[in-house]
Amino acid sequence: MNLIWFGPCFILLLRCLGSYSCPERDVVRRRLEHLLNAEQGRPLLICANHLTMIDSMLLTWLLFDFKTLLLHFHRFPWNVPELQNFGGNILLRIMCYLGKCVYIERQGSAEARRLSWQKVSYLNAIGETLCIFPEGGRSRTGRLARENTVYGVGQLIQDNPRTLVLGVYLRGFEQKNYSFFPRRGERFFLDFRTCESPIQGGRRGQRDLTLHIMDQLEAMERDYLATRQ
Amino acid sequence: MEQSEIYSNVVRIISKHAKNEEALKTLNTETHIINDLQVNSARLVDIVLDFEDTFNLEISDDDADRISTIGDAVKLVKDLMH
Repeated sequence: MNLIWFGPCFILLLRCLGSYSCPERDVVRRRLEHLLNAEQGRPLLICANHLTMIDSMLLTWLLFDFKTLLLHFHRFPWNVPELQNFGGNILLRIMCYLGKCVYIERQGSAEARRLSWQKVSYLNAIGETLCIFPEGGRSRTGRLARENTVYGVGQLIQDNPRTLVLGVYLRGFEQKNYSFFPRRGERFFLDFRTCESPIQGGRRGQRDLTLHIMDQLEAMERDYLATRQ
Repeated sequence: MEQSEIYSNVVRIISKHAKNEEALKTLNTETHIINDLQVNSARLVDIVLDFEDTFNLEISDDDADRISTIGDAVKLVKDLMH
């Protein structure tokens, strides 16, 4: 029921206040719909680059139409925001509650982080869509920050090998480096690739799986930069 | 492997990921890897994997979670090697 009134507010914010647009949106949505129909029953894990604080909202808006989210609410992705950034006041907490979020404290104890990942892994196991930023935070350089990669994504895939992993590259054409919001009137580049690779166990396997996703994101970033030159 | 050799290897591996270069000048066994050297907690996984490769051993998650200082890392490696 959240979506019935939260959805229009969400779209109002992005489309009217932000005047955001994406030329490839319809093509990407069709590709994604085709993929999800072909891979029915697999939980979706969206792994994206991260440049602004509303990337997850933008991804949800651009990848799924309102009707899809209304009829298949499990497609509305869960996010894993940092508690310090998004838990500071009641308004943000309400937004995060309605926007399907599981808080994480990246500088918290190992036990607290493990508990957050267990919740996320459970959601993945029951078929909910997740949106994770493997860089762990917004890239300060405007390019993918491979050195900041967090390997929790690999652990999720190990926990549920049926997961359909989607590497998504989203970037405003005028986005130079990181920011809170994209600039008003921004137009976005959007592309995705599926990320399938052999699943090995252990810590090493988590690293390899995550770095494979980063490889795909970097390839899309190279494509984007090449087309912009 | 001598303790001094373990220490120098541990320091070499951890130093690669340290963001606080000033703290590298005054390293000792009490130096906290995250608080003093400002190693990103996500990089601890890379450090543990480097320990496994360098010292040819396996480190469990529980043991890895107990590493806070350089001294902890040296002690863990030494215990697992003997």
